[in-house]
Amino acid sequence: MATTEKTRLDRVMQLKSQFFSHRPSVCIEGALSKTEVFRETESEPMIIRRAKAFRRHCETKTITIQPHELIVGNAGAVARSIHVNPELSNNWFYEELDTMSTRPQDPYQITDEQKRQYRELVYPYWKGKTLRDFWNARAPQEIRDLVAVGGVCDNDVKIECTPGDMVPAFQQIILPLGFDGIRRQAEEHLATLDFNDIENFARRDFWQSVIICCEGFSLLCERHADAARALQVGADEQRKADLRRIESACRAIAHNPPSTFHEAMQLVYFVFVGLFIEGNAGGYSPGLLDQYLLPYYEKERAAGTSDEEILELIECFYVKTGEQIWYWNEPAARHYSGYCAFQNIALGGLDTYGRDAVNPLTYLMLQAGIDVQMVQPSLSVRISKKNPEAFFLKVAELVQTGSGFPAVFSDDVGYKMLLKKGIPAHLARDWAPIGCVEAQLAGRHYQWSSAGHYNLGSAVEFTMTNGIHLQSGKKLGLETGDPATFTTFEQFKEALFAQLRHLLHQFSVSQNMLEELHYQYLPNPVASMFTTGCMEKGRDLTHGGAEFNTGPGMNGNGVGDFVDSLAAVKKIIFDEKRFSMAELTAAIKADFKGYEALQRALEEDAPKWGNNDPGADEAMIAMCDVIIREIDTYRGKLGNHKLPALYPVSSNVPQGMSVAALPSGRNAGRPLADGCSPSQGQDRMGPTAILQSLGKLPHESIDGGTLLNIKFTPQVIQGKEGLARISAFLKTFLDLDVFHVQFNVVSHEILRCAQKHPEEYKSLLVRVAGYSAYFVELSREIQEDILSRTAHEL
Amino acid sequence: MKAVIENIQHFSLHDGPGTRTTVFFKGCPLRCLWCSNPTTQHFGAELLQKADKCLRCGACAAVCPQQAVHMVPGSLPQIDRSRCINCGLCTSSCPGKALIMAGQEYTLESVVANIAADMLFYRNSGGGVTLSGGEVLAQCDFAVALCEECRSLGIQTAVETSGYAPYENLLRLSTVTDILFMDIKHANAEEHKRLTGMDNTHILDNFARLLRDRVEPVHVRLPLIPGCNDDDGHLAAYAALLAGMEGNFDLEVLPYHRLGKNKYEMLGREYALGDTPPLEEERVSHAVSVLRAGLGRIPVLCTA
Repeated sequence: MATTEKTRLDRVMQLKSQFFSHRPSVCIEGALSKTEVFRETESEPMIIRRAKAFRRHCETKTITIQPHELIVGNAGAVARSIHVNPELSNNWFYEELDTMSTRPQDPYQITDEQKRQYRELVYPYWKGKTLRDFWNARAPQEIRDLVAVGGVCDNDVKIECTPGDMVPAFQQIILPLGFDGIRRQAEEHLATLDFNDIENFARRDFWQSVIICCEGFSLLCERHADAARALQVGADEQRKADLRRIESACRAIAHNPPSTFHEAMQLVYFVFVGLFIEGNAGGYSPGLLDQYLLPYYEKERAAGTSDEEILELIECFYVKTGEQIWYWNEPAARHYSGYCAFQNIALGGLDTYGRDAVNPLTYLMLQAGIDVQMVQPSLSVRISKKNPEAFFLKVAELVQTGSGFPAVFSDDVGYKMLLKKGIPAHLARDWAPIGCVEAQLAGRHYQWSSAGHYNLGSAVEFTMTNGIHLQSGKKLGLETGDPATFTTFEQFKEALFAQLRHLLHQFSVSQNMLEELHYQYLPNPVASMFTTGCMEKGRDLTHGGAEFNTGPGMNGNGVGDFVDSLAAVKKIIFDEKRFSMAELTAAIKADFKGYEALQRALEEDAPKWGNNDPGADEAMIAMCDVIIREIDTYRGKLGNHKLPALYPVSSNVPQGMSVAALPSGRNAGRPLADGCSPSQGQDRMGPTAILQSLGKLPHESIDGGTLLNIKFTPQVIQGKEGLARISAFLKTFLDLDVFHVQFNVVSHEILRCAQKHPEEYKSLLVRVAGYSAYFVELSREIQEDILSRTAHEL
Repeated sequence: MKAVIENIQHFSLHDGPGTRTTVFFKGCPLRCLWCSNPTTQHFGAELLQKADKCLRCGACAAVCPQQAVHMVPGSLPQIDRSRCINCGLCTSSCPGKALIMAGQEYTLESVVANIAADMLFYRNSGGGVTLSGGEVLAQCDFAVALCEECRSLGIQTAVETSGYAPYENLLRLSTVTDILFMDIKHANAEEHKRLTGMDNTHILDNFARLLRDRVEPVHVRLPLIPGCNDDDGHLAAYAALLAGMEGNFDLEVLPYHRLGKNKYEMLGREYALGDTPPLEEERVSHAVSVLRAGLGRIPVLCTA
């Protein structure tokens, strides 16, 4: 039966309801088999042991093919199960065995039998052998204290996880070679080895590990083909046809490169299954999917396959990406909530040679985003003035869904970021955003885009407390003097920047420790064989195998809070002398209790970031200058340049809990500003001023990534006018050289939040012909009018 | 050159095409019962009181030279509007920012600089600047100069007016603006006077003359207000009145909303329409169909 729009959308509906019927659960098959393999291989090199564990899991794991699926596979036994890596998470996983199914944020279902097996068969072997144990044993005490207090610096993302920050080399390696092709290359290298070169022992281990991983992938494909064959018995005709297609696709790619679109799509998916088997991580990203699948699309269309059939496969793939969970311990789940693995697809933009890359597949992949609307994959678009208007309008259509997708990137700014990272101009056009907003050269690049967050708000706090973290009472900052004695703005600014530099330094030390530990203990043969350079050099990613090495990104929280504090102290305390530093210092300690007038002055009379106000914009530029120059001197294990990054999204909430009141007027414990967005409610001049302020940031020098969220009320984006409006807005975004923007449509829920926390939603404007007002200033009754309308419109 | 402006709002969605900046002029000769921008009626700056922000500290009462503020224990400071001269001293002493002035004087240069910041947005969206109010024509010289300045910068302009002004002023502004919106709020002279404070003779006369003099279309607007002008009888008469006019125009219906109600509270004034709820959608579409029936080929639009 031919695929029609109806049969396709029916399938998507069924897949989605099947998806939501799975409660996230635990799979310890991999943990058990990895423990066995490690017991058997104590004397072998780590990279071989990890490769063998990978192959064993592919060989022994439960294979599941769900009803309605066309794209198949999971790292764990079933959809939405977490594949537990004991070398990373042994400690907390053991401690949380009895609570993980009932914890409030992102619980995982676990059976009593699984708990028993973990306690008896897994935990004892890995005790003392996890990255967490190595960190505890080896990190400098001062840095451990800084991290342990919580909220000033965090680094779980590289203690509990492998580096997921990558786009596999689909174009360069995977699609043209297939698993046997990769294996043959490794075999050829092995055949030429001369051990009189001492480096060749390590190279031998690497190439052998690649061969073992390729065997694992082939097994994984074949076992899915077998399972699809077995399921055909007794299936109805329609499903039997589906299963035949699945069988044939899986069989075809077990050894050889794909030749159909279905095979290519399944291969792309299996690559991610393999990466998630190797490590628990966020950010494993498909990248420039519409470009590298285009040849398969064109071939199929020429052979008579319909767009509906292609779209159906894309949509099946999208639903599958959401099934893989990046799992976390209970405290960190608050930072990375929502079972989301940040797998970023980057559509549109320009091709390698700088030509418009938008093609028919781009539109289908955007349409799939409109049809599927799930939290994964993370859909991004790279936009350029060379892209056609139809593309801008299709992007706008996806914005209109209110799903928060796509993330929009200036192709040109991303390109410049890669130039700054030292990527040659003739390659740099093939950049892709991974994870959230981190620009990488797809397939060729090893870059930890994140190794945790540092808190710019804490730097401000330490300036106001002479180095004391008020919540814990511990001295975590520098002694920059009693702020009550500061008599000039310059004194304040110098103290603040000294605190900032110190925090950056400490955070960099934490990252260095992590790089050192990964270098010694955590080679990743699967990720390595999918990155150009590793095969030729015979070296794993952690040892510098990749063609290009940069990072880690040094990711700062509380940009808006830092800038607004600096601007407020200048204007209110030193320029206008309305209050003294002594009063401000006391007010911060008292969380503004008894200092309400001072707080209002700081909040309402000082310049705020995001309003195209020179007072705040200059403070921003000064802050960025310090960060960029300081980080420019930092290098990692491989000589890699570290990167300034200002993009944290959800960690602004937990990190905010650790920060005292700030001179911006923000109360203690409240969320920090997200990414480079204005502080909550402070964008009083509307979206045009936000973009103009953001246009003043040196985005290409903040090459770890910048992030902007803009809230739109539904009436801004609805209808045909809305599409044109979004398209026009994006062109101005390009003109102003802003790197990233994402749009949140103000929902009913957000308006309810605004009623509860009006101070954080001051800037929500209600727009009606010939009239304007701020939502939070309306009476309850009128707010309810708008709420009823909004509910209707969404 | 200076004008009293209530607000300059960026990224406006209505009152003209594309992304717009709206300049709200302060001061209006009419007093429409339903006015949603009462803060733009009075000429000159004016005191607003935001109840939720008041710290009850009494600084306003202490500083007021007119003794217009009375502190009442456990309640908001009471402002005697008959004594208040809108000098603004209390606003600069108010630590809670509960007292603010609506409206301030702007020079032409400062308004132009404010507007021109969004140049890229106008260019990319086909947008521009809308002069609204208040009554733009009450500060006609400034409005004309602003439109001329915009035109020389390549910024498209739109003007919203009640049409209640000397005709030569209306014509002067019409010749320098790209898009012209003009309200006709009621077909009957006496009713118009009851609802807005002025009868409609002068407005209708201006409209007829404008239709002769203006080449580009005039966009007529009818604010559709429950109980004031939304009955079928009036709508039929209204359509008949417009149908009898010759010239290039269309009609847009703006359904009533009560979003301006809290602004009356801030001004210490009563809202004449009290708790009148917004119109049901069916009521609006019915009104539009009555108007369409009477207007024939003249387009009737509706912005909900």
